[in-house]
Amino acid sequence: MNQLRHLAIRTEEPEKLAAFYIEAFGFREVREGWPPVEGQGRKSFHLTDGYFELAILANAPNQSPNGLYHFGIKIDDMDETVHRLKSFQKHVQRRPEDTSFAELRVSDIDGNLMDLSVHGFLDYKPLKSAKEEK
Amino acid sequence: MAQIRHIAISSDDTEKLAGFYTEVFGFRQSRPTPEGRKTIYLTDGHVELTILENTNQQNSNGLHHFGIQTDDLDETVKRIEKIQPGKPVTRPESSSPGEAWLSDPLGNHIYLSVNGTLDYQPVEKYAYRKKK
Repeated sequence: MNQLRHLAIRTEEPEKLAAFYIEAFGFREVREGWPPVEGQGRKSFHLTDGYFELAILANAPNQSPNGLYHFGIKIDDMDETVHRLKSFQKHVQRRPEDTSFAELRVSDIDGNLMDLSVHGFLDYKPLKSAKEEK
Repeated sequence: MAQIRHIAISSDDTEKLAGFYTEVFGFRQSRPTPEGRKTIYLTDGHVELTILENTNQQNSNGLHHFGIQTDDLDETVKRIEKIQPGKPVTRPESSSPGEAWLSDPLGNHIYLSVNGTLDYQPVEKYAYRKKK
């Protein structure tokens, strides 16, 4: 069963926004975030309610719009999903197997961005590492 | 326990977009579209994905808000108003007593609900599956 498990918000004040969600709703930090370039910028936060991940992503000033950015779906079968996607849109580009992010970023037919991942979002392991463990 | 259980996307062609999510990801219709409206409610069984009608083009299309289900609305509202003084949580008279709306410190729109959005039996027919 494919599951909605991730929502990402982009902000220039990730500490402030993460603190709000932790304090107001009791969400916990699930894993360490990092800035887009190591040593630069602010840390991103990955929060969870125990099931769903809320990513508070650090946005550089004057770079991209702040606000709701994309959502993520944990999928059962990547090949089958890509096959179904291609009946709606020609361009589906996979990320490298050792990506630290979800394996696939696509947009729906209205242009809404979504991350697709077989591994999910709470305990993310790049595909390459998962293969090496076997 | 607060849980994220709802994501809403605004679209000017709700049937087409709902068709995409049912066909590609197998999401089901969770409750009927109210008469005279075009909003479509889908679910994966745990989280609701609402495709909001934007037929009058009064909003941008795209991600619109998300929803958090909470056990105790009064306590949650009190906590939020303490964190964000001067930024009241809205509880419209037209809404049920278990619902409220707020903005986070950076203006993202959140729907709060005690009952959640999935206390509905999925609609029997997956009405928005693409016709073969």
